Amino acid sequence: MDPSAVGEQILQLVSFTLEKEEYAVDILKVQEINRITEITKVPNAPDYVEGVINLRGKVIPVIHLRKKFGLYHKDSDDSSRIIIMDINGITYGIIVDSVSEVLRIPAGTVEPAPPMAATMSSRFIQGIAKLENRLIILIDIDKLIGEAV
Amino acid sequence: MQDEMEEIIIEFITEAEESLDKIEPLFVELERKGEDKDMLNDIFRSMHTIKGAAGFLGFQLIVDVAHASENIMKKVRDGEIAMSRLLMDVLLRSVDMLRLLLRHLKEKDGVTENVSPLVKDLGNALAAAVSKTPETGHHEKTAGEAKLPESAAPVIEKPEIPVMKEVDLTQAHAANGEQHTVAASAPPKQKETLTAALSGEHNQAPEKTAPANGAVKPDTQPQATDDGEPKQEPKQNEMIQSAKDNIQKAQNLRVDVHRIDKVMDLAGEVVLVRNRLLNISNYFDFKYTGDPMTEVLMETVSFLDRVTSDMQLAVMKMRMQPIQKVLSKFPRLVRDISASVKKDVDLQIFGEGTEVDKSVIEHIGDPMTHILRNSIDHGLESSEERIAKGKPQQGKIVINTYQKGNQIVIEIADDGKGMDVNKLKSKAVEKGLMTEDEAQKMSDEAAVDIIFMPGFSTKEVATELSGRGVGMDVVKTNISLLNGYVEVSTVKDVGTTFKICIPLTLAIIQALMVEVDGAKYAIPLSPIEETLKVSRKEIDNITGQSVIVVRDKICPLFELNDLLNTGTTGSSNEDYKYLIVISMGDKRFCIAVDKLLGQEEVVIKTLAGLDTTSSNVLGATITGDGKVVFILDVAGMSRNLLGITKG
Repeated sequence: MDPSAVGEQILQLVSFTLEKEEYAVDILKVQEINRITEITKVPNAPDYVEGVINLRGKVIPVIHLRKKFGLYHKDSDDSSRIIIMDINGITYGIIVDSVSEVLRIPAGTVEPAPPMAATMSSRFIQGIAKLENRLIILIDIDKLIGEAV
Repeated sequence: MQDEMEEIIIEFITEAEESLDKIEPLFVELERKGEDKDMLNDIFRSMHTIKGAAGFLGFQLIVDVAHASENIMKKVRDGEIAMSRLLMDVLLRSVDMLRLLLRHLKEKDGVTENVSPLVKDLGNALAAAVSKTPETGHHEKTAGEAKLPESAAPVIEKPEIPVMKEVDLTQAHAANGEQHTVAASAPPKQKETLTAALSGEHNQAPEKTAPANGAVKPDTQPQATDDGEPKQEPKQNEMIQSAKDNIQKAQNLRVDVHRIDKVMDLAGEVVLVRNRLLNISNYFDFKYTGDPMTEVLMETVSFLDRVTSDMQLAVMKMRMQPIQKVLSKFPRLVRDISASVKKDVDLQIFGEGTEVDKSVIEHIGDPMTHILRNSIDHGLESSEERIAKGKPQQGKIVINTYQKGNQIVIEIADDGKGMDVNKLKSKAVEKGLMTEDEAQKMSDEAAVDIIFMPGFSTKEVATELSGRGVGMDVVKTNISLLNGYVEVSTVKDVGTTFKICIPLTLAIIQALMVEVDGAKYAIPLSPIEETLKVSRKEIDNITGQSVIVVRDKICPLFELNDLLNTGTTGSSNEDYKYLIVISMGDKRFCIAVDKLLGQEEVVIKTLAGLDTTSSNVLGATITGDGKVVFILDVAGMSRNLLGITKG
């Protein structure tokens, strides 16, 4: 289990879905995963800021990742989740379509992001992990959220 | 051990900074009053404490500076030389240098300052002063010392106390190689001073000498056995310090501010839980009226309600500090500024005892400094001008602080030339901050606010003090950050008064809960003048702006959902509207809402990670039912809606 014994670094990730794509973030960033609770709208805020929630007495902003990525809108349903993350010292909630699993993958399977068209989102992609029959997009959440809100 | 050392150093820095804060205004007062034995003793003692402590900890630079200025202080105190402007200047420079050195220590940036020129200047100033007065012998000095007749008495009565401390001190001096400096300066003097200083303290609190003595004794005991261990030196110093502190302020406890903030946070949580409980108990009271258990529940909850309110108040008080902490630096500041613009200024301060929240203390200094600078540089006339106008030659600035309701008011008034409204207007037009047309239409009261526009300055040439067009807008921003506002009133040739109003605390506020389109919002109660229920017919429309007549005055009216861009129109079909009349300084406007829900005490939660600059909210709170409700920033709204920088 010890990464050094294996001789290669193991990445621990939390994976989630948006639309049909699978994404993942470093597990150390994730504080907890919650169901959708009541969200209060923020006046005059950018549209990807869904609002704020009450997390046990703390008011934290919630980002709708679909809107942030420019995907078409879909109402939250039973599988929707809010991933609570610590991003640059500030707690955020991130709304995703569903949370899949905790992954342990060798760092070697991660490839740098292919030079895609200069879309906004590609800047936030850390790399792409190749597993048997699926591709998982690793997101640099610090860059994605820290820069823009 | 490393941590222990660190702690001791931090403690030293805090205490040294406090000492400097204390003596700086004394210097200025001393200069005005001339000789004052008590004040001189106070300054001397503080300087000496800093020097001693720095010596034990091995901060040689601080020792050098403190020692050189202490030398001057000593001669002045002993009446050998008279205080002069030259001496004062160089002494104040040494205070600045000590501050700088302390800051380097605190930030651990490793920067070393070259103090030798200053030490040399201090020496030169002393030599110059001494040469002016006839040289007095060493023995006469001791005679001067004996002028404090009481000092001898307690020493005889309880000889073991001062002697013991003396021994401690000299020992520690020796251990640190500090004795070299002391010996060179004059060892007998040194001893006398200590005795005088210590016995002076005993005089102040003779009944407390016994416990203090007890505090010193046991601590020195292990020291003797442990001798030779280097870490004991600073510890020993601390003991002496704390023993002295025990005498002076046995009633105070130094607590890390983070701990208090933690308690504050927890108190906030309790308030929220209390609110929820109140809601729940009301529900049960309604559902099971007459049930004995319900009554017990109601009683218990109302008791909790009272206790919570008391606790909240007590915690708030813990963070309150006298505003003197800020005001004490102004005499020095005014002295320096007025000297650099060659004006004669008399600063009077009232209400230093007024207590405000710590966060206010931290943020109010800068805006006040800017206002003072402005008053001295722009407000007050030169001495010649004043005489020509028939005013007293010396300009006057009065700072007055007082509490009014749940607000703190700080007034800074000068008796200078006042502001020329027309000049302000033409300057603003010249700088392209507004059009000629706008300037024409502007009322005199509004025109005074031009000074708060970013980039505005009436000075032709920027001086060292002001004229670069930054400053007054900073004042406004800083104060609105504190949820307060600033007003200016000016009368030509009589003077200008700045009035700053800030709430007592920033953490918990009284708020009016309102509803628009089903969403709840909280509006801070303090700027609300009144609430009205008006029929739609009473609302008029002037060039697209809704207005209403409130108490014979026309008041602009804004729909809350327009202000917040909630996406809905807000023109609900109700015949009646609820209006909240807001008054910020001399500005008034109305906000229309669907419903008024009542008054509530809310805890402000900051919104980390959200850019709220354009959202018209200043924070959020959590209501009794666990929902997040935004607190509206009416100060910001008034700026955005009615500000002259609009468009």
